[in-house]
Amino acid sequence: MTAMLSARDITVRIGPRPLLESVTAHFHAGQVTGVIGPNGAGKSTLMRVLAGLVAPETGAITLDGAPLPPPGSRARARRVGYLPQGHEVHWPLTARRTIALGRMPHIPAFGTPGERDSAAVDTAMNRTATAHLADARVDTLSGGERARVMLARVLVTETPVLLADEPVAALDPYHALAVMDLLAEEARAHRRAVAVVLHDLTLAARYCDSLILIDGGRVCAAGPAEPVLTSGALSAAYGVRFARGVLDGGAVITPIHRLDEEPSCSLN
Amino acid sequence: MTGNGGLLFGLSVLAACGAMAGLMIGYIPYGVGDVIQGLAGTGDARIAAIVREVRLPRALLGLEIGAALGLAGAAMQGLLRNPLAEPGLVGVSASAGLGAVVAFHFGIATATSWGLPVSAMIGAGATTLLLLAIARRTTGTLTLILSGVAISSLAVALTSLVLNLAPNPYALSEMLLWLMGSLKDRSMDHVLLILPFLLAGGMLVLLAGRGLDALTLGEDGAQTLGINLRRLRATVILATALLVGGAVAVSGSIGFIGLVVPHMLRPFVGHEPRRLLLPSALAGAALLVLADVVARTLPTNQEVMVGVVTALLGAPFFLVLVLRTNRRPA
Repeated sequence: MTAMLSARDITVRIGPRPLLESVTAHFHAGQVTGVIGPNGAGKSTLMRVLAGLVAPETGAITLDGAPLPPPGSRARARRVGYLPQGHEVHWPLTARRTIALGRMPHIPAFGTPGERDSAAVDTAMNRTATAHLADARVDTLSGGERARVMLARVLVTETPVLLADEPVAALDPYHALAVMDLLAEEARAHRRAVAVVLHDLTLAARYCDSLILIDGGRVCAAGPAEPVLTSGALSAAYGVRFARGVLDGGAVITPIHRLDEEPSCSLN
Repeated sequence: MTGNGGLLFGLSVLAACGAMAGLMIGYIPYGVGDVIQGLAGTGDARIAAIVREVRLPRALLGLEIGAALGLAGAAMQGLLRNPLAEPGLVGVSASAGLGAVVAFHFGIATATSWGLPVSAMIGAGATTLLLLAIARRTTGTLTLILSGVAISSLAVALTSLVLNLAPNPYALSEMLLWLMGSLKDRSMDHVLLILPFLLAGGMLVLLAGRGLDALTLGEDGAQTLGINLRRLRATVILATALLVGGAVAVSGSIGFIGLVVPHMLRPFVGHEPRRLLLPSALAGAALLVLADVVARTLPTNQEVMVGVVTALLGAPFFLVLVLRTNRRPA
């Protein structure tokens, strides 16, 4: 399989401090790629670079070998969908109108949404089980409902690449699984390249085909999920000893205690 | 843009009624028939002269400026995603006010009827260029707004300096009254002078509508939907400057319309920023002509300035707004 979205040799600095240093990462169509690592590792920065929100000092991003259109253009927006952390919605629109915002890259400047657009909104709402919320104001939704609405908003753009920054943060287990199931289905059934930042390593083990472990702005380990999760680099990066196992037919990986040495995967 | 028709029609009717009231009410009240005959130029020549040369420019100016302020307010609140933002925030109106008092100070205002508005527009224009330069190099909206606040404070300080140095009490009172905001004694020249600025500003706001909708999802969300944020910010700032600069140049600063109107209408358009734009223009027009009618009919020995009326109505509303916003959990 060829790499679909590729970031090569990405370096991002704010002042003298490097947020990302020579990061190379590949995201394949049909796969869920998890981006993991401790707080401040550079996971969100990597997602923001991929989304075109941060211009890297060096490096290039390509989609199927071709450079991406410039950030802030509709052509770029049709290729890369980005679900930011926090699910902010500044005005209390209805759920349906919020989701319909995701069609914007497909509608010409003074055009009006057509049948194709409203069909895409319907499909996204059905897939995320939000059809019954269509007329509800987004500020009245529960955290789980809101997460699904925002996911529908990014699905509706129908981009070949989907970036989700901590989509399950602050969700209860049921809704976390629901969101991950949806993302996995988008990758497998709809052949999208899905990149997702996760803190829950058990979810990473269950849902991700491959993983990118980042620490201190560098890639410590990357590749198929299983070897990354069992590598020494994982413990070193988080500074934590993990217990791993299979319970009731599902992989489980959970932190046990902190390690004495300073967390850094370069010690490995 | 769905389901706005009824609202737009209702507000248009309201604005038309307000303008009609403006033509009828005055030192000598006229009936509907007198006004229509006066506009058509038939009937009593004296009535025709008053209706066409005194009351019509005033009503038209009220509609124009009200629409400009309402539209600018809706655009600014959309850009900042904040219902408490108002068009004066970026310092354009304060700069236009400065230009105006300077015109008074050097006697340009009395030398020619164009002197005052042109001087005010130069003030607004200079600030706009400065803001655009800042918008081009800054990445955050907050920086832009704080710059606007700083520029605004400077313009207010310089205005105070000019007032301070006023050559005589008469000039001082003239400047102060002008700053309060009024539509009194303006002519068709004023109506036509600002029209191109307001039309250009209006067009720019409509161009920005889509970007304002996208900003509902935050700056990151908007940018990943294909919105060029720098261009959007520059468009809205320029549009606001044209609208507010044009308005202040002939009427002085009329507050609260830009703040209150979009906020009142938001529930009627499902809180959608782009759908809010046109209704805000129409409601602003209606509100200002009606406020002007109120200003003219208050039984005071000197006519109350319309800027005072809008502030008297707007300030309590603003207070309620702030308190209600505060009560709602963030």
